[in-house]
Amino acid sequence: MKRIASLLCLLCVAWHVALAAPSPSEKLDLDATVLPSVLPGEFEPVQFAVRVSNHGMFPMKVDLVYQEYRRNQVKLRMTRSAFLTPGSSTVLRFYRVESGSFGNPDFQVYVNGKYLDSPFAGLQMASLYKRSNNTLSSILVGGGLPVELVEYVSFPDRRLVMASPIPLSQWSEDPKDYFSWQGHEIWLSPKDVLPDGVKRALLEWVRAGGQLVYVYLADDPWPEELPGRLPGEHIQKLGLGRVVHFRMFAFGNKAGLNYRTFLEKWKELNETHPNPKGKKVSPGEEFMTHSPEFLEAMRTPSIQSVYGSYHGAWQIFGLFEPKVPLTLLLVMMILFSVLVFPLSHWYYRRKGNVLMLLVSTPACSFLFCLLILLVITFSDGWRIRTSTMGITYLDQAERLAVTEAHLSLLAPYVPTSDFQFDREDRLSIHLDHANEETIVLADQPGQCLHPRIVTPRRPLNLHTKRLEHRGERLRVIEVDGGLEVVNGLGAEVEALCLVRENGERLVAPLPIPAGGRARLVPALEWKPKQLPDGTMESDIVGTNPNDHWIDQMLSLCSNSCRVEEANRSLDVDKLFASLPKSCDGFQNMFCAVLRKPVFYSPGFQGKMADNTQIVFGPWKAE
Amino acid sequence: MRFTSDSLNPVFLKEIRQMFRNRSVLILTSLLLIGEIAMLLIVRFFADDIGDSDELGQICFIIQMAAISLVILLMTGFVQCSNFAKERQNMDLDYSRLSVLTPFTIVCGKVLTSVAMIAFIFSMCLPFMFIAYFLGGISIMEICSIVLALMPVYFLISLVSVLLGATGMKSAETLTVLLGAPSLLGLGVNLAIYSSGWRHSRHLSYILRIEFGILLVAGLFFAWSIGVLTQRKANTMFWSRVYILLIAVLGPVLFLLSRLACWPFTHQTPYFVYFFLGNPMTESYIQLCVWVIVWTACVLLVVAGSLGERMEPGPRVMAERPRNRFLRLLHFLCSSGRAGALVLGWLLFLPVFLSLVCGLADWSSESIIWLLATLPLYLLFYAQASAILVRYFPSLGWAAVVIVIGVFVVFPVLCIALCPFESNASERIWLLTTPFGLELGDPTRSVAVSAVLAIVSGCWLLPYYCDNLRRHLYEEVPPPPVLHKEEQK
Repeated sequence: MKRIASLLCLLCVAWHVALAAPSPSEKLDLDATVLPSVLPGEFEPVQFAVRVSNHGMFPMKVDLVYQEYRRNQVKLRMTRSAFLTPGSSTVLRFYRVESGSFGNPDFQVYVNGKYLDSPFAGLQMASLYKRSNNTLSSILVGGGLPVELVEYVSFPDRRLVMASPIPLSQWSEDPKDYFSWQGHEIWLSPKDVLPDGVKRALLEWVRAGGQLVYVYLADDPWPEELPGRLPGEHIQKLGLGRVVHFRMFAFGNKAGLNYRTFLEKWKELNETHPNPKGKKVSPGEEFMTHSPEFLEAMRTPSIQSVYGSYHGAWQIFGLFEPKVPLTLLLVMMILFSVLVFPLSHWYYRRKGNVLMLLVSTPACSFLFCLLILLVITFSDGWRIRTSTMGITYLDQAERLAVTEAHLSLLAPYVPTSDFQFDREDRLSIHLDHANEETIVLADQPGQCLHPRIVTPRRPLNLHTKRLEHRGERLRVIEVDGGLEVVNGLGAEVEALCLVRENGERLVAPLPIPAGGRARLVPALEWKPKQLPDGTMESDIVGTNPNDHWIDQMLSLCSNSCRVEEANRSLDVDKLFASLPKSCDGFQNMFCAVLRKPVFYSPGFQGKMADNTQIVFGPWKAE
Repeated sequence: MRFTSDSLNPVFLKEIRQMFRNRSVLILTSLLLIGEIAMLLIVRFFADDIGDSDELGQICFIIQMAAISLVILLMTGFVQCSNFAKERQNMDLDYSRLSVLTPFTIVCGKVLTSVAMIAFIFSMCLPFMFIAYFLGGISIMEICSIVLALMPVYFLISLVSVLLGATGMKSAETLTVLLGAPSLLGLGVNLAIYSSGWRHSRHLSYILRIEFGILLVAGLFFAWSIGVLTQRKANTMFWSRVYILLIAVLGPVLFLLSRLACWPFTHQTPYFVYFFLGNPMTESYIQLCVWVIVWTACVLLVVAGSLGERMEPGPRVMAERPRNRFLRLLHFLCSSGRAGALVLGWLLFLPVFLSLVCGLADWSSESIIWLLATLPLYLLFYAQASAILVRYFPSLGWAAVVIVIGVFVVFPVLCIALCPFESNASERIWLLTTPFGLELGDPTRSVAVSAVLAIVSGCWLLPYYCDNLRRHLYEEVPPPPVLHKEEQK
C-alpha cells in the first residue's frame, strides 16, 4: 500500500513538473494575423480569417479557439486547427454559427496544447458579434465611390450603407467570402480597377444571387456597349443575380452641380422654403430622377429571415414533436397511486410490517417508470429520426451550386456521435429547442457539432448554406424532336420537370437512376385533389418575382407540401405545375427532386433519414 | 424481510412505524397522490387551454415540486417536531432519560426518519416526474439538478425540526414551520431556478457552494441537537466544538488544495476545480472572503458558546479525557469549560487575524473583511471580561455576562443616545468598547483598539488558561460514580 502511495505521489510530482516545465512550443515564434475582411464586422454571420505562420525551428500544432460567453459561461466555442512545419503558414477561416448573439467574444491561441498570450494586433473583438437590426438589404460600398453619396441616395429606403474597410486590391478572390452578403448589394464606381480574381469572385457571387451596382457620376463616361431602355440604365441578369449600371441623373446634375453642392443647396432650400404640401421628399429621391420601373428593377430582394419566426416556411419540412399517450399514462398512474399507497399500506399494516413500505414504494415506482418508458418507446420509437430539405440552384455552365438546406433531428436520447458538416457549410441553429449547452464546433475532420446540443424528444432544427463549384450536371439532349435527359447529378432523380421557353412542361415518367437516361413526356395538367379530411387541396400559388430566389422556391415547396399529423409529403406534381416560366436570370428551367443529400451535408445520418433535395437551374439542350 | 434487525437504529424503527401510523401523514400522502392525478387529468383534458405546450412539462414539474415541498415541510417539519417535542416534555416517553441510547443515536434516528420519509415521498412521485419530462420543456438533467438542489434544504428543515423538538419547546413545531417555510420558499426556489437551465445558465459551482454552506449549517444543527439531548454537567459542547474545529481546519486545507491543484493550469482551469470551487484565477479574493467569513463565524460560535459555560470542566468531562497527551489537548479545546472555549477561540482567530494583517485583505477600501476581524476581538473581550468577573466573584454566574454587556456595550450606547456629544471624536471615545464606534474609513485604528482590549483581558486570564490546561493534561481524577436509571430519573 505504501509503495502504491509513494508511486502515486511520484507520478503526481512528475506530472506537475512536466506541465510546469517550458515546452519547446514556447520557444517557437508564431505569427498570427487577422486578415482584413471585405465586409465590415457588423453583419452576421461573422466571418474572419487568420493567417498563422511558424517562424520558429520546431513544428507546431496551432489551435485557434473563438468563444462567446454569456453569464461567464462559454456558450459558443469554435475551433480551427493547423499543423505548421517550420517556415510554413496557413489561413484558418471562421464562420460564426448563426444562433443569435451570446455576448462577450474571446479569441485564444494554443500552441501544442499550451495557451499562448493573444498575439493578435488590431483585432477588435467587440466588433465581431454586433448584429445589424436592418432588415432591408444593405449596401457595401467599395473603391472610389463616395460613401456619403450612397447614403444620400439610399435615404428613402433607409438602407444601411457600409464602406469596406479595405481597398479593392485587397478584396478576397474567393466567392465564399462574399456569400454572407447574399441579399445585399455591392456598389462600385466604374473607375474602380478590380483585380481579375476579385472580379471573377464577385461575378460568381452575383450568379449566386448577389447584386453588383456600378454607379456613374456626372463625369463618368457611359460605355456605349451597354444599351438600356433609357439612357444611363442597364441591368444584366447573371444567374440568380444582377449587374446593374446606372448613371445618377439628378436635377443637381442637370444644373451642373455635383452632389455635395446639391446637398447644401437642397438643405438651404428646404429650410427657407419648406414644402407647403407637407410631403417630405428626401434629397436622395430628388437626386435619383430615374424611372420608377428602373428603380423597382434594381431593388434587391432581401432574404427573409430564416429564423425570424419559429413557424416559418422552413418548419414545414422539419420534424414534429411526438405526442404523449396521456390517456394511457393517466390510467397507469391511477393504478400506481392505488397500488403504491392505500393498497400497500393496508396490506403491510395488516401484516404488521409497515416498514416494508420503504422498500415496496420505490420498487413499485421504478417498475412504473420502466412501464412509462416502454409505453413512450412503443409510441414514438427508439430510433433517431432525421429529416432534411435542401434547395439548390445549379448553374451548370458555370459549375456553380448554391444550396440552402434545413436539417431537422428528433432523438429519444442524446446521440453519441458528432454532427458532421463540411468545412464550408454556414450553419445556423435554432435555439428554441436546442439544449442550452455550449455549441461546440470543432474542425476535425470537417466541422463537428457536439451532440449535446440535442434535447431528447425535442426537434433540433439546423440550417446550412453553401456556395461551391460542382461538376454535377443534367444533360438535356434533343432526340427526334423530343428531349432526353442524362442524370449526372450523382443520385437517383425521383422526379424531373423541364420548363421550356414557351411554358411547356416536360416531366420524366419514371425515376431516373444515377447515370441513367430517360425521355421526357409532356406533363399532365394538375388539378386540386380531395384530401382525406374531405377538404379540397389548396390551389397553385404564384411566386413574387420581387422575392429572393430562395424565398420563391421555399414558397413553392411549402405550398406543395401536405402535412398530415406528424407526416409530411411533397406533392411533386403540384410543385412542377407551380414552377414559373422563367426564374430570375434564365428562361429554360429544370427542377429535379432527389432523395439523397447531394449538395449539402446531412449532418447526422440516422437510419430513419428522410432527405429531400430539390435542384433547379437553367438548362440548354445539346 | 422484516425490519427488526438490531443493526438498525432503534429510534429510526420506532419513529418510522409511528410515522406510518400517524393520521396526518396518511392524509398528507393521500392528498399528494390525489393532487398528482388531478394534475394529470387537467393536462389530459385542458392541455390546449394551459398555454404554451412546449413548457407543459416544466409547469407540471414546478407544481409537483411545490406540492412535494409543502408535504415534506409538514411531514418532517411539523409532524416529526411535534412528536419529538411531546416526547421531551413527557418524562415517561423521553428516550434520553428512559434508555441507555446515546444522544448521537437518538438524533441519528430522528434524522434518518426524516431522510427516509423524504425518499419515500420522492419515490412515490417519481413516475409523475417522469411523465413531466415526457411532456416536454424540462430535461432529465434539470429535474435531477433541481431535486438535488432542494435536498439540502429539506435536510436542513428536518434538522431544524430535530433541534427544536429536542429543546422540548411547546410551540416547537410551529416555529419549525415558520423557519422552514421561508427557507424553502426563498432558498429553495432560488436554488431550483439557478440549478435549472431555464432562465440562467447552469452555475453548478455556485450551486454546489450554496449547497455546501447549507450542509455546513445542517451539520452544526446536528451537533447542537446532540448537545441539547446530552445531560447537564456532562460534556454538552463536545460535538459542536469538534464540528466547528473540523470546519475551521478543513476549510483552508480545501482552499489550499484547490490552489495547489490549479498551480500547473495557469490558464486552463481543470473542470473539476471549476466545478467545486469556481475559477480560482478570478475568484481567489471572493473565496478568501468566504473562508474568512466561515472562520470568523466559527470563532464567534465558539466564543459566544463559552459565555454560558462553567469556569471549570466538571468531573465527567475530566473522566472522559483520553490517555494520549496530544488527544488530551484537543479534548481540552473541544470539551465543555470556558477556558477551553476561549483558548480555542484565540487559536481559531489568530490565523485569520494574521492573514488579514499580513496584507491579504484590501485595508484601504471599506471592505467587510476588517469588520470580520474586529467582531471576534470584541466578543473575545466580553467573554474574557465576564470570565474575570466570575473568577473573582464566583456567585455571579450568568449575571457576569449581563454586567459586562451592560457596562461595555449598553451603557456607552445609552449615554450617547441620551446625551449626544458635539464632536464625533468624543462619541468615538465613549464607544471604544463597542463595535459601534468604529470608523468605517479607518479600519486599522478600529482593529488596534479591539485587539488591545482583547489582548489585555486575555493576558489577565493567562494564568487561568495555563492552570486549566495543566490540570486537563496532567491531573488524574477518580472516575465519577455511575448512576442507576432510577437515580438518573
